[in-house]
Amino acid sequence: MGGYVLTDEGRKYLKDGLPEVRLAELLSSGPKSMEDAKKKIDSFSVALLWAKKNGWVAIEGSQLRLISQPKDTLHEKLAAASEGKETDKESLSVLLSRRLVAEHRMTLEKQAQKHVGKEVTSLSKELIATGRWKDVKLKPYNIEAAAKTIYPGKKHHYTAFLDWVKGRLTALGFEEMLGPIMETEFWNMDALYMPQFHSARDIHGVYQLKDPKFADKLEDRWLEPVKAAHESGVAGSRGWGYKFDADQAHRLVLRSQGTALSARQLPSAKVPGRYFSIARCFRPDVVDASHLPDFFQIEGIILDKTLTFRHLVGVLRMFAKEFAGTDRIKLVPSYFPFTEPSVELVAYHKELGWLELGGAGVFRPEVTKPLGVNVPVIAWGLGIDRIAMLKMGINDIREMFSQNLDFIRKREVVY
Amino acid sequence: MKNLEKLAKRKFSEHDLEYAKAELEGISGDVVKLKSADTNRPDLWSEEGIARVMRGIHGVSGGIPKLLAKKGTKKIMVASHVASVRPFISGFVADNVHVTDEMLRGMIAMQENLSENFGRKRQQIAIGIYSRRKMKFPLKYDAVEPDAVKFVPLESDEEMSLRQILQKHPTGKKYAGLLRGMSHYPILSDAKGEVLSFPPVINSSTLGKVEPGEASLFVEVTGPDQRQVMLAANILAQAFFDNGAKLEAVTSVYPNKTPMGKDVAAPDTTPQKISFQFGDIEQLLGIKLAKEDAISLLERMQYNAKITGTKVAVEVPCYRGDIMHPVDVIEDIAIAYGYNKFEQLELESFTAGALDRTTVFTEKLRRIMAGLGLQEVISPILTSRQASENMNMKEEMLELENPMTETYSAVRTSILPLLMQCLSRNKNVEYPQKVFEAGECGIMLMAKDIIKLAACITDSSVSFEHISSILDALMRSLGVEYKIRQVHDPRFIEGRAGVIMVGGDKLGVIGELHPQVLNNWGLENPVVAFELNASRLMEKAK
Repeated sequence: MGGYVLTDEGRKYLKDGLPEVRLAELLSSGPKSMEDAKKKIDSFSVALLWAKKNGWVAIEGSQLRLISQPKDTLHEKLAAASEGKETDKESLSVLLSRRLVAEHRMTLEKQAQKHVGKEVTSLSKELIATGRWKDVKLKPYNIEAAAKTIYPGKKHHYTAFLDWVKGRLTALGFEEMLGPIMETEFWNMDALYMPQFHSARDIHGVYQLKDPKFADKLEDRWLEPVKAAHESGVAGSRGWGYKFDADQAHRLVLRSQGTALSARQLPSAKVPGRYFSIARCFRPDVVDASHLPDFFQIEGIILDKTLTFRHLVGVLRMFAKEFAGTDRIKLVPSYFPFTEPSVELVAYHKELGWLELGGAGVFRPEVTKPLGVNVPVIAWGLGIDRIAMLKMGINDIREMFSQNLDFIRKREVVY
Repeated sequence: MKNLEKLAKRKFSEHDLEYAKAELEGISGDVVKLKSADTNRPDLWSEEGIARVMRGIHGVSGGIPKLLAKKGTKKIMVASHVASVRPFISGFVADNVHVTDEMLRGMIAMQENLSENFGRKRQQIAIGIYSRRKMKFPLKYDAVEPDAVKFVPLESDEEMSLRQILQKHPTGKKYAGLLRGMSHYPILSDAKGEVLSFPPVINSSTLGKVEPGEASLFVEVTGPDQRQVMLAANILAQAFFDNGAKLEAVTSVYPNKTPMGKDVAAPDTTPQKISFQFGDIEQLLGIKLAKEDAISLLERMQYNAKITGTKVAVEVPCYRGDIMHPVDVIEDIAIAYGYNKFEQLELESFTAGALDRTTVFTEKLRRIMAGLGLQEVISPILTSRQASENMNMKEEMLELENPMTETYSAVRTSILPLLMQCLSRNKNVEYPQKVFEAGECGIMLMAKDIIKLAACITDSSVSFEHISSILDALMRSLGVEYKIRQVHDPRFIEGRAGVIMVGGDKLGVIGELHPQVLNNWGLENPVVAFELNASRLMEKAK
């Protein structure tokens, strides 16, 4: 019943009940004299008219008698009308004829009339609906005044950047790897052929958990072959030649390198397969402009039946193009305990100059063979924070992680 | 630089460093400062090492560099006592050296690099250099009780027992940890019983002092791993030899057979032998080399190489301990060939990219929360006991064994304290402040992490409705039915705290922060908040 409103009478009946219903209720305890009923029911004539019309009440001399219980009353139609809901045509015409509802327009018109000939600030509903806007003058605003500052709800600039990276990498065919931040030394280092006496494994290189100290269980299936690779080598390797400590492999640490996720992925990796991860990593560093208690590493692996160093060059070129927008790259010999050959990618960025963009290599057989992988695996890592910082106008890595609300709110949305 | 160029027999160029996996840090005057990228190539951590690579790569000398050592009769008698303390020692004599201040500095730098970095702060490798002239062979390497021997250590005038050195001498204190719990300490003395040194701690101030003008030196290495000890001795010997020294081998005579025998002479110039199929090169590098080119590349990287049929037989110089697998040699072929000469190949196989479902769900949460007008923040995953106590919580922490500071001494199990910390750092920033964070949290007593989502709203006046309406909108957006059940929680005001129930499971908390908590964080405006276990919510959401 959109466009209709209750009249005063309609509102009264909605509140107190319809008079014909009240009359029927009065008679439900037995016949009453006309006089009697008149006193008890206001709007008696209306009540009698509609009660008779509905066939609820009969006049027997001066007595009134209930002949059938009221049903299909207008009360619920009134209620619906008061809420602006639609009702059936028949009921609507009854309500209109009894003047219990009136066309909305009437009310709007009355209100709109007040403004006619005047200057108004806000263009109101009644002015628009009645067309009376033609009869008023709309006051001009100072639209050149400075806008009120509001802040949108939005993503943090760093996570927004990382979301962008995730989008680019999936577009390049990489599948995401996730894994625990509380990791065993096994996946964080052993599986990556980092000897247990490696300096990155001591208390200055990796955070250790206090309680629990050790993982309950590891997949023994991988522990033995990895242990053998360290102790005496695998697939033509002479190994590190020391006694591997299985307890240390169970030691719980905070993931210190994203490559731990690649190691975890290897046993179940698809061939061909491309994987990436954006991993929160932790190292015991003194916090300064370039070191944080935790940081993100972007990296991954590529598996295929035939992959060579030349494919690795192709992959690095693709990343340089994608993330630094450049074809100019230099490949520099590098060292990682888990790759051979190892390479550092240096790319020319038009604003930052020559920039270390990442490290990569082919996983050593001592990494892949014990985990059941018999195809070449390219491992890569990207350091593209500096490019993101440039785009965002940020100079200090700490600002990438900023908790300064003023700073965060005022960031332009770059990614 | 002058020395380097003299040793390399050519001009220094920064590009040469790439072959030695080193990076130029700076040149000031005649001093070239480098940073080595290869933690597994201690032979490159000296100017002799860099010069050696330059000589090889530019064809000044190919194949395994010369290393001659006269077979002498000099001996180190190793006593059985050292077996359980620091079992191995290797040493040699270097004559025809002309010790100058500059050379001394280089020698000390090399010694430090080897023993501190490669030798893991002298645990694996300790090096002693002595004036040969003052001592009498044969030497004796023994282990004695801490008070049995006294001598005057370097940088002291006082005679001290080994125990006193570890207690009082600065160097002694620094390395005391290496001998903790041992009943006997190593001692190296000469034929007259005069002390050379107390390995791995300090030299004596008499025999163990080297001064400019010296022409003959004795060098020794001790450690628990015989292979590493010999490698360090070889690296040192090669460096002295490259500098023009005449070497004389010294034999360590062990009481029992060791992995290298009973009588072990150093340096041991026997090359390590490794072989592989010629086709392995193409398989890994993707380039087809002529056999003579492969040999030439190997020789430039200072290997001796021979190709017979399909087999490549390689001899590795004795100062290299990093060759474990043919791939290590093949990398050197690639380096000599020039990384930048490799033509790229595209990946051929098709693979479908995808995000993990947890990432997809978390991203959805973040999108909804941002749409509800909240600003995302990110906090460290590491937190402190103080942060937990500020929340009126007295709970166990997921603590670290080796924190650097109290501030980052535990893995967070909840994001809420970190959001409060964030608010406390933004007291002077415009209100209202509406923040949220989604990220990893640990679970108490478990090495497992989950994703949580927390949100806070603060203003001069806020009511529970401000946060419950956000939670409600989030849950409706996710199609998750939930109920809030009143609960007692010390973080929140009594009667204004609830658990968020989804299908009979507690998935989070919601409430108005307790004024004590606000005081603890130094906050002056009321805060309403909720936190949800997003990992479990993911299982409930459609």
